[in-house]
Amino acid sequence: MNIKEIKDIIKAIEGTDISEIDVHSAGDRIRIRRYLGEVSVPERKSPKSRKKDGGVPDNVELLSVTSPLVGTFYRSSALDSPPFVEVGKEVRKGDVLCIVESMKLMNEIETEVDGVIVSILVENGQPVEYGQSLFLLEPL
Amino acid sequence: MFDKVLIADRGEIAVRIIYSLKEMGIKTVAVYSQADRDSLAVIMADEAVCIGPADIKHSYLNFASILSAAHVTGAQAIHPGYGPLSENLEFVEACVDGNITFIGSSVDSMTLMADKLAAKYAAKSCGIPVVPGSSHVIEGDREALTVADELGFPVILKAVGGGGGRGIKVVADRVDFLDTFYLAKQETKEYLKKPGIYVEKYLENARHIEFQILCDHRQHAIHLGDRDCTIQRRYQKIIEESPAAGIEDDLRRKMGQAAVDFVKSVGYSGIGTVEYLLMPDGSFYFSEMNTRIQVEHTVTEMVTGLDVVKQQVVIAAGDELEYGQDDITVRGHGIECRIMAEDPFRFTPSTGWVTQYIPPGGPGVRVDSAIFCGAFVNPFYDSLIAKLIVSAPDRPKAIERMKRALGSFIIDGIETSIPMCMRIMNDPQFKDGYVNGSFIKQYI
Repeated sequence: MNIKEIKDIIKAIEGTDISEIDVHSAGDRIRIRRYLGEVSVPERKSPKSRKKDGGVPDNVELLSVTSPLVGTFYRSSALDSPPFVEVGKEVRKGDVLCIVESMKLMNEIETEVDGVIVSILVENGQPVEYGQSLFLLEPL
Repeated sequence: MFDKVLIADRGEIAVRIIYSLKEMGIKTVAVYSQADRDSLAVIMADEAVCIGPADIKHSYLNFASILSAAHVTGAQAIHPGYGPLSENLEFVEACVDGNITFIGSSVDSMTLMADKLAAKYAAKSCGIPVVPGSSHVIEGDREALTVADELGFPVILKAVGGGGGRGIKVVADRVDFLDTFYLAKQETKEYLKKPGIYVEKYLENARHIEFQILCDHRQHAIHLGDRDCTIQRRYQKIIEESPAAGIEDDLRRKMGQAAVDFVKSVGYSGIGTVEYLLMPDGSFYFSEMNTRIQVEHTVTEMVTGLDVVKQQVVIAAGDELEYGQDDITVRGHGIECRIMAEDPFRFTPSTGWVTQYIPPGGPGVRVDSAIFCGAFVNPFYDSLIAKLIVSAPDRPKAIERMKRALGSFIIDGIETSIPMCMRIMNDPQFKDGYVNGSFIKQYI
């Protein structure tokens, strides 16, 4: 395909509402794409909704605290000790909210902001994955 | 046998492993990075655990995350696929410490094969010819040059802890030797855990022939025939065939037996691949042994009808191999093309949404892939998106079948290497079965 043929194709689609054309000719292939008005990006299709998505509501004012590692979620430091936090509790930056046990190591998960615990999304003893939401906080 | 297995790799091989595990009635756990949240392996596995962000250092290479995922899901074994964990000794040791079975060869076998020079000399003491070269790692310029002069140019520099073509450099002329030696040393220091270079005679026109080996804990070993992987680009394979064209049965039998003898002599267990360089005059040399499942195991499966991954799991579980050498028959001819997401002639990676995906079907066609219409091919990982494998009664018919399959493989939205594969299938040199390492150069 030479440059003149390509120019001819471009001329042919000018003034039409064709946004994309694929031409195959003698082993060559050319695709011409034009953006008419709005730039459209193909929709991301997910064949199945995500597994384990913590169920975060669409509330922009709430912040979620996510797990930085894969492991088991614990609300207290030992079986007989009280939970670190309950719903309604006010927490300060640096306060421990829970423990995620990974490879027999107890990792304390701290809040990075001041706020009030609105929701605890995971049950005690439940496995959590990387990036999973654990708590919802209303920032102060 | 295991009840539940975690697959610590991504892409097409994760899906392929899940297929075998499902047939064996074993539950599957996929692990994925945030960039692979909507991947096919995640959809197909019984359970899926996010192990980190897109960057593989913090996800697919994150031992703690992967082992922790195995613990919380109750998986008894980890299949490492063919990715970076598959030949990583530290990971195998971490699995042992965590009381989880690593589906692969033993620590001892892996340690031996990871040291390319040690493996070479183990083969030599088993009576297999090896390529002439230095017997130890060479540090100094002067010594390296002396060895190269004794061997005669061209020579090839190889990394003792090599993999993926790192550190491999051919030096055609004496004048370039010291510069190339320096570069190769730098490269191994940068990319490989075990640096060190050794020098070998470069065998021009050598073909790359490998044998698939299965060996259980009782040292019952068999091979599944050979594969020709000569067509490579930057030391990465593009097209694989089984059996290799134009090799006499006698020679094939000899090479296969040598591979079996070798794995027995080193007390190997697991599946693996013994690689040889084969010269036009029929002389062959041991090159190295891979201890992982390889990308191209599929072409062997096409002509033998065996499920190699299944055998790998059987061996790892401590069970006996289900086959003897006499049970193995190679039927017809198989060819595999690796389809990469890249510009077919400039080889630059191509990423984006797959807007249309219609794989070929029909008799003798297999497609191993993890993409689908609506999948996103992201820039973080390997560009291998599909493997197209065909089998037919003979090589010419297999080539015709491959052309038919390539011609009807529709992948839109991204560029792929399908046109390059088609050009190779149409090349008269390829059709004649005359294939050597420099053949692909005309396509670069």
